[in-house]
Amino acid sequence: LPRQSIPNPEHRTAATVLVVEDEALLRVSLVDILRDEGFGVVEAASAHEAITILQTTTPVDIVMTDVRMPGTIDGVGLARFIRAHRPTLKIIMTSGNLVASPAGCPVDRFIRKPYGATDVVRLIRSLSAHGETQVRRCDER
Amino acid sequence: MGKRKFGGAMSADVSAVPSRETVLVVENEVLTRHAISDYLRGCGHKVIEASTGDEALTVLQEPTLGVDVLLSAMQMPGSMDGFALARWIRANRLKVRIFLSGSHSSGVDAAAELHTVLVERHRPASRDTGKRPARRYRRPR
Repeated sequence: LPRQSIPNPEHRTAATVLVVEDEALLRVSLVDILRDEGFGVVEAASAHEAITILQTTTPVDIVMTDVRMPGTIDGVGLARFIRAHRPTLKIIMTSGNLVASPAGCPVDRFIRKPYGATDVVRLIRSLSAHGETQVRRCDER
Repeated sequence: MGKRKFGGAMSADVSAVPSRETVLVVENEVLTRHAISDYLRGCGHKVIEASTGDEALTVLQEPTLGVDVLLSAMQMPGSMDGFALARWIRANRLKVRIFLSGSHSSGVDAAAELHTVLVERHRPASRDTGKRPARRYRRPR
């Protein structure tokens, strides 16, 4: 499909997104779109990889993570790690099985799979435009 | 782009015809993978990252991604290591050039049998800067 850029030059290169997704083709597609839209992108195939990245000096502004992932830590565990160790990071959680983030999971936004490229780009832009993290719990919605 | 959906039953639609080489980097150590990929992107290549041989195979089987070059670690966890990937490519994707990286001398003979370039790898001196490890990869002739 032809790619249509979402014009919003003031936000280009504004944020670096850590994409945490264990489905390779989905991850490849998403990071490609985000790079084309001007975001910095770092990718991880598991929550464990994401934590490894977050423990370095790699600049990350937003973490977009799936809920269900293989390994000992899922997206919920990753979100809790982030809130404990990198509380200023913004978190977008995504799932194809849930309609909202799990109870008590401290995320900023939730987007259900399948999602459109436009929707996720717009969501990331809106988050990167906010100065402060607004933590939402699913039971607050 | 707006009509593209991610996360459901999907096929990746990442590529237009690449104007530069597309390199598939396969490495299970995320910081090493990130460093190599970052360096190659800085050289102007389009880079696809895979954390395992199985992920790499998924990417290679997706025709729209158009992988030109495989750069893979020799040893990886999972059902496919670098040699298994190389064999699959030699049988199914003849135009893809293969570069295997590793520090095991025993890999030389196996790489020669597969007509691949073996790139000797050294331990990265720094795990968080993302630059120096990639520079230690010799440019193949």
